Amino acid sequence: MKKLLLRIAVLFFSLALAFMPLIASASSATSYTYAIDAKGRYVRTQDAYLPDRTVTHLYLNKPEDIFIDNKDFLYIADTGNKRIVKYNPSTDKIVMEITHELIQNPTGIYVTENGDIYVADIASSHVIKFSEDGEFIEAIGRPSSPAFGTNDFNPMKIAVDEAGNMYILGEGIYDGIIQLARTGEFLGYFASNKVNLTFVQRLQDIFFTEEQKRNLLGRTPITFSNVFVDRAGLVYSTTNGQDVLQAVKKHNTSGKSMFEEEIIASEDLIDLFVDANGIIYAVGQAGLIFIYSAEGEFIYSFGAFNSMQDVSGLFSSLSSIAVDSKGTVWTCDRDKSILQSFTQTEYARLIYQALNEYSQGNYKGSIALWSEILKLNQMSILAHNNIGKNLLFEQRYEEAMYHTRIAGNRFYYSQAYWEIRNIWLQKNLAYIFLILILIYVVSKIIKWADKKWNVLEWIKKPVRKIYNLKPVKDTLYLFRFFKHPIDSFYELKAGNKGSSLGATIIYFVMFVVYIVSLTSKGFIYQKVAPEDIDYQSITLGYFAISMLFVVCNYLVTSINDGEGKLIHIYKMLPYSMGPAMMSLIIVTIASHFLTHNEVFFLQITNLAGIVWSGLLILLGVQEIHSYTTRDAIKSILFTLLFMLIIAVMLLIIIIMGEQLYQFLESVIKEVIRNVTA
Amino acid sequence: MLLRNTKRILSFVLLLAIIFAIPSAAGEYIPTNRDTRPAPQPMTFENKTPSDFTLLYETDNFKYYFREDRDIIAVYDKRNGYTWKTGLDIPFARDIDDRIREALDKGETPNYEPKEDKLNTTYTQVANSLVTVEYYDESMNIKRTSSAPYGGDRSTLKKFADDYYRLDIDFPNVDISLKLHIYFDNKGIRYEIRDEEIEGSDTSILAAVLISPFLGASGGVQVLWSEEDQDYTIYKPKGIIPGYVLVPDGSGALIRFQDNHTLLQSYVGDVYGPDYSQSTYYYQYDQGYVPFKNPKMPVFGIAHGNRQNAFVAYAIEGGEYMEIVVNPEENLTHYTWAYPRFVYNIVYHQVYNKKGDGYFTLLKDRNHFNVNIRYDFLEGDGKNGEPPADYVGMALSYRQHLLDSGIINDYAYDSEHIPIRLDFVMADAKKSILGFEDVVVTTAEQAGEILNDIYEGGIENISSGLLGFQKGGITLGKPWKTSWNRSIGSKRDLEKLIADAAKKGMDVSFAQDYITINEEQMSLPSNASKHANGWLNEYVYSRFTSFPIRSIAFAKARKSSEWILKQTAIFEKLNVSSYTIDGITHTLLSDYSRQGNNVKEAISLYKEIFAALGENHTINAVSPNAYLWPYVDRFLNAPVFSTQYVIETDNVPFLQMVLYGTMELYAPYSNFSFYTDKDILRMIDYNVYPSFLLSHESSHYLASTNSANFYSTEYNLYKGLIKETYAKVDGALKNVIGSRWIDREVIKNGVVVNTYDNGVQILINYTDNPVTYRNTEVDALSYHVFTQQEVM
Repeated sequence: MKKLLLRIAVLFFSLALAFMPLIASASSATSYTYAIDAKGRYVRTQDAYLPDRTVTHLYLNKPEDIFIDNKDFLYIADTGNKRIVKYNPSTDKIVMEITHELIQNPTGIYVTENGDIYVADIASSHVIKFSEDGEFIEAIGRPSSPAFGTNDFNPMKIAVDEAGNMYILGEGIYDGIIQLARTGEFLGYFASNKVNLTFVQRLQDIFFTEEQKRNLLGRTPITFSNVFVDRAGLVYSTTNGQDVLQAVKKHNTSGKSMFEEEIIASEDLIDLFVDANGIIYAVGQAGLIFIYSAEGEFIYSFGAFNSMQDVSGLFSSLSSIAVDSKGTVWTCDRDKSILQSFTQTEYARLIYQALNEYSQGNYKGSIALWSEILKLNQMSILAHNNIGKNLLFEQRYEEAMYHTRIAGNRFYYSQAYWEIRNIWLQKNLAYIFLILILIYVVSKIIKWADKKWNVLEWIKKPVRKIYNLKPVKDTLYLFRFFKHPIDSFYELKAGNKGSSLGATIIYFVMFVVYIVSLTSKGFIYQKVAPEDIDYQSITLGYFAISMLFVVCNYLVTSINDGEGKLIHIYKMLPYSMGPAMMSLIIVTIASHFLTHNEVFFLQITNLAGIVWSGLLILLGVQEIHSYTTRDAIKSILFTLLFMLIIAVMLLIIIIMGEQLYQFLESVIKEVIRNVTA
Repeated sequence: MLLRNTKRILSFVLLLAIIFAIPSAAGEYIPTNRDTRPAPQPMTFENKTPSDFTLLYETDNFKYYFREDRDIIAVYDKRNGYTWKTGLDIPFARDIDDRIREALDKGETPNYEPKEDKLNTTYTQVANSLVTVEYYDESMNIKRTSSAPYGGDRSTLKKFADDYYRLDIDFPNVDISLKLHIYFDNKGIRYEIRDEEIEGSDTSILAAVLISPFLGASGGVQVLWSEEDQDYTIYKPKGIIPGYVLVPDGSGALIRFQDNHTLLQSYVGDVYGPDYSQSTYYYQYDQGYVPFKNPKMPVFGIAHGNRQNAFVAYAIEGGEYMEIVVNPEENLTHYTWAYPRFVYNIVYHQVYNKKGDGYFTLLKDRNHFNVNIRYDFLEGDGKNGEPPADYVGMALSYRQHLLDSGIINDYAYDSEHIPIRLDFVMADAKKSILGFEDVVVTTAEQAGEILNDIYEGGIENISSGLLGFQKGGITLGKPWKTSWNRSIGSKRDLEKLIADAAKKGMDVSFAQDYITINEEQMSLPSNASKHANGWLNEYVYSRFTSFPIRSIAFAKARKSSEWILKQTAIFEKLNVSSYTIDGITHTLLSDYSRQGNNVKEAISLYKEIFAALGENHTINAVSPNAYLWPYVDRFLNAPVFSTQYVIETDNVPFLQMVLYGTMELYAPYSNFSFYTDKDILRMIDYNVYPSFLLSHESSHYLASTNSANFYSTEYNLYKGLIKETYAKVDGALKNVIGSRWIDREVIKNGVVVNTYDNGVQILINYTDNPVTYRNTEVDALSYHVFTQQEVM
């Protein structure tokens, strides 16, 4: 779902049609900073970065890559000009320029801690190494090792670890990241993206010939779009393309991703940078800059797409990112051939500090910092979440519950609640038993007294009166089905007990119970907030499906010697729903007291209700139509199939009708235009 | 061996130098396009009267000349001898070639006159002519034709009085003719184009009229004849005049004349914001970036040199159809040129079915309006009491025009301390099982308590607006009535809030947006304005999936006016002393429904309403456009930044200098990324007062409402910041209340000095280092007020 939302958002970015202001903004930011809310939706937050300098005077031409070394010099792969530029941001001057016959189309650059400059050149098919002063050291060409296979060696991007091992992305190489030793020796392919086959593709695998398979598109694994090695020697990568669960990966030594969860990112990631604290910065071509914690948790994103106007901080083709020691973000735009820097705000600084404190185990310090962040953004899910987490570790459960609830973090909320419930139970268990025993004893006494002296007659009389009202009686007849389903269905069919009125009431009661169960569960189990539920669809769905079942079953059974009339089926269905209704009620109430640990209880209750009701429907069909069990199962299956067919047909009719309407509308408008023109 | 050692030592020294160079260099303040840089370099120019021109008129300050064949007016400034020309005054390359051929045919040595690079015939005629028109060809592309085209003059200058001429133009290539009325006086020139004088069978495809597009242009590259190559192969830049274009983008921005080294897009400022009904499409959506700022006034200017020569141009009529365009060098030509563009017709998408299929077409009835625009020429550094020839002078000159024509008035503000704006977000709507429910974050009582708390804390000069004061909150509250919601505050609660505040001199008012409306709030077909294509205008919050209302429309001007009268009548009974008005103050659009209106009519409707409301009440307007300034007392959410186009090199408080002392200007809410030390300094530099948006409850309750963007409003968390911000801003600006702001200088990067006519100077130091000025050291990131005695 998140993925879908993201895709929609990115789609709208790329559709820069109009640029119409509505709400003015306060700060000097030109794009908004977005975080994710408790429901996984994009929300605006305090600006994390402000556009700072726009550098246009370096005569760049389609720069593809930038890098910042540990002295905060900026290296630019000035691709169109076939050169490497070393730029000093603090003096705003070019310090050095490197040109070399092998620098033909430089698309990747990396500078090691000791100052060696590595350039990946896709056109000269070499990685070229220069010294800190820009002097040529060596050029590394295609590895001769047989393990490299028949692949071409067209290096696009490069990263180098402390030992001098190179991680190279080669154009057209699907086996993974090329890993070369310092000497240029081929060490193997490091990590590779798995191909996720679709259902159709799996079918193709079974039935297609080898030749047909070769002609298929999209079967090669999605290749990496960039690679990075941080100062600790960890390898990171970005991947672009659809349906990539982890567009940003932090690899362990075996090449596997160290992140567990899905990574929130756009589909066009093109570069990344990791700073000294492990904060990950990744950029998409359409101008979005995503920032993650060292654990891959999405912090926020900023930047935006605009190819029509040149405004600081908006991009037409964002190609690279690098971050200096002060946390200033530098980016370059390939189409506009400009550099753009962004400075951190207080807000961003606080967040990184707080994350740092937490990773060092200083929970108290972390809470204090996150509380500062909350001042700036009371909607920050990150802050609430982290405060909640830290409070939990600090054993401040009540507060932890408050914050995790706002953050929508049910996992931690449940843990905090479990603790609180535990404490409460320990304190009150004795009283609870006492009360239970008391209730038991008192009820026994009353029953005994009632038997002897009819003490309860004053209540019983009016209750009986109400019970004997026909609608009430017919409705409550429901409960007889729990114990004696076959007899009850027989009586229902015979018309002795129960009625259409009762059935209709049950339909509605069941609906109300259903809605209440959807909206009123305990926080841990209330996955969708009441305001986000589509009540129209639910109402329509509930009644439409029930009625469709009734009608379809009637149609199916009437050609299969079923005895039941439409009205019988109409009555049978609700009277079978009793167990399901009971389980819904139990689950809804219990969900307020249970934690994640006791989820099985709710699941079993739910399942029991559904199975029981399902069985009742089966028995009902059998009894009403005088079927054998086998016939009844068959008839139910046919009913379901028939329901599906009708649903599909309705859909087709609606779509066709709409098209017809559009067609007529166009014709009429065309006629009107021709007549009036 | 020795050599190697030397090399090693050398590189070591170099390395050391680099390492030590970093920290010392890092201390320097490198300005961005959000700062103002020091003034441009002085320019040198020749003092000579233009040749090939005939004198039309002379005043104390100017001599006005005209060149018939190229349609150029030359303005000779007698005060310093500088000459402005409305065109580049260059020959056509084709004419030069003809003359060379002629000479060669005759066997004479031809005179190889220099040509202009990148100026073809069309651009040469645009560069010279006084008037250029743009029209649509059959495939809806824009074509240009000018009053002084190649191959024969198409205009005649007629004299009606000494100071009044008329240029009658019959444009080539299209059947369009118009008359340009030219008035000269001792300040400059005024042009008029009357709507009824635009004639011809092609007026329906007239896109726009451009007036003197190359006046003040800078740059250019000449191509010279090379004897060696026997061809025009020598490219010689003409040199960039130091100076800039001023555009009213946000608070104001300068586009310096410079080599951008790369092709950058033009600046196009749509005065008063885009007319949604005349946009290409009838729907818009948010783009993830901060909306671009629109000019709030029809003005721009160009300065040459450092306080030497400048002009400021402003529309007196036709501003609502005006665009301000600046083309940077390398975009089309080698010149940076700026001009007003008056729009008569637009291309829009005519949709003919529900699916959105359609075709592109023009308005059947083009826009009708008169153009009336003035150019005031400025000179000198302002020591003689005249406005100086830079953006300060442009602001002062435009301000004087607004004062003279009664659009703004000096505002007598008697208080020892500056005011502060504290708005409250009270409620907004979120979805519930049955429709919508109100999320209340501040009740009337709580608002009262907060105001009291701040008042007790020593800030007394408070005005406040209540957002979302009724049932439905900000988003669903009806703009024509007041359906009190007891959980927000009953009528009596609000009455009490207003009365209690008034006793202490605080002004509490109801805030209402009268233009953005939605389907859950009212029926749209009868209330919303229609696009030129007949569909209702629509704006979709595409990125905000958490908003319960994701699509909004814009009210018809007539409806807005009706509602505002109805609702303020109710407010009046609650004894409010002011009204807080949003929406119609900054959004201006036409309506193509049956009894629709154009933007001109909308303006006069709004003006009428505001005049009536302003009679007995104070008007708080959110970011109002210039046409409402006569009635505005408090200008809320005043822009303090520009859009930050890459070609914009500086950000200046032009709007603030124009309006200072005529109304109270308030900064954007400090809550939302405008709270740092630098931001506070900016308030002092730009002369705007602090404002905050507050709530009693934590703002996370608003997460599922359309107010989800108010992510930080809880009063308890802001208490300290309000006090601190107010103290700092008041500390500086209380010294200049009631005086005039007469100068603003950047003494070095990041250090600004504002001068007021009461003798006070305020130095604002944005840098990370202390600055010494007038023997006083001013700390990093702080300000200092120099009193009259210190300045003397």
